Amino acid sequence: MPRFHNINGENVQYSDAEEAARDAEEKAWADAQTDYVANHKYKDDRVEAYALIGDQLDQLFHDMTNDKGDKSGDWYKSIAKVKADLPKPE
Amino acid sequence: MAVTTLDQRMLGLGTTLTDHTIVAGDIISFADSGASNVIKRDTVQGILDLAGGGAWNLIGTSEASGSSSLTITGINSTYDTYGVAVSALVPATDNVDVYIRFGDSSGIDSGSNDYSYHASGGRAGASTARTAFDDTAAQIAFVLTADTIVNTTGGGFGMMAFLHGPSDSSFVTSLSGTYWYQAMDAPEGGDGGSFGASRRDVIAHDRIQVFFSSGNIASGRLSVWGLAHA
Repeated sequence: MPRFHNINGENVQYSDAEEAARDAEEKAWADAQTDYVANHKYKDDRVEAYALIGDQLDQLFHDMTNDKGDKSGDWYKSIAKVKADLPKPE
Repeated sequence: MAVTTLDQRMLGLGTTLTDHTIVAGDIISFADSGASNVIKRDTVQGILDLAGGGAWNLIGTSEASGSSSLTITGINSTYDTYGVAVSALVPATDNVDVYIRFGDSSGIDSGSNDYSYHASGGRAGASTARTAFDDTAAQIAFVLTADTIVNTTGGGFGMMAFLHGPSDSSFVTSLSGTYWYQAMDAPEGGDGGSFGASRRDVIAHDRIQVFFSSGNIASGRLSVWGLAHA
């Protein structure tokens, strides 16, 4: 099925060269999305799941004040939970 | 034919008025404040021209109908700045990005290093901002990471931006503005933010194009206005 540009309200059919270029662009987009979801999406999901930096620093402060600056602290547990919930793809 | 004499028809009590659409060439009579209220005439367009002062002048508008892109031409050095509105642009397929390119009479610029852009925004309900950026791109893009645009009910993309110096021989064509879209991974709302972008070479452009990374545009509109200084 041919593609069309809409230029100033009028549909203009793609040339053969434009069709080929568009096919390549759509494939590149699909390939990039597949790669992103398979290999990189987890990083963005983790960033969004982590608490705000200010809140994390406050959490660290309280952990250290309570002598929990190790794996027993709330900060470590919250970060570990995000990583566990959103694992890096194998 | 120009009207140079007064018509004898007069409005009086009980005069029946008929509805007619006023057009730019219709004549209106006035009392001249500088000449003892002597009656003078002008056209409706003459009155509109007096408004002047920084008007938004529509260059063109295109509504999607079975096409994969929307393009508006007619951009030139008449205006330094153009307003660009993308209204409720809905993709025919799910999971796409929206792209913008510039061009001239020889075609749309689509080289792999033609554009640079930075979009900064976030997802409704999320505390963390996201970015989309590239300085060697084949188009200006907006989607923040995996939050692609949906075509389900309520989905789509909207943008209000300003095009700067598109036909200036000493200034790159640049675009800045704000946008919002309904996102694939954001059922609680959508993604929105601001962006800045430019064509990397100084080229006089006369058109702007918007399209999705894949598939047709189901509906929506692209409009461009020239912004007059006076």
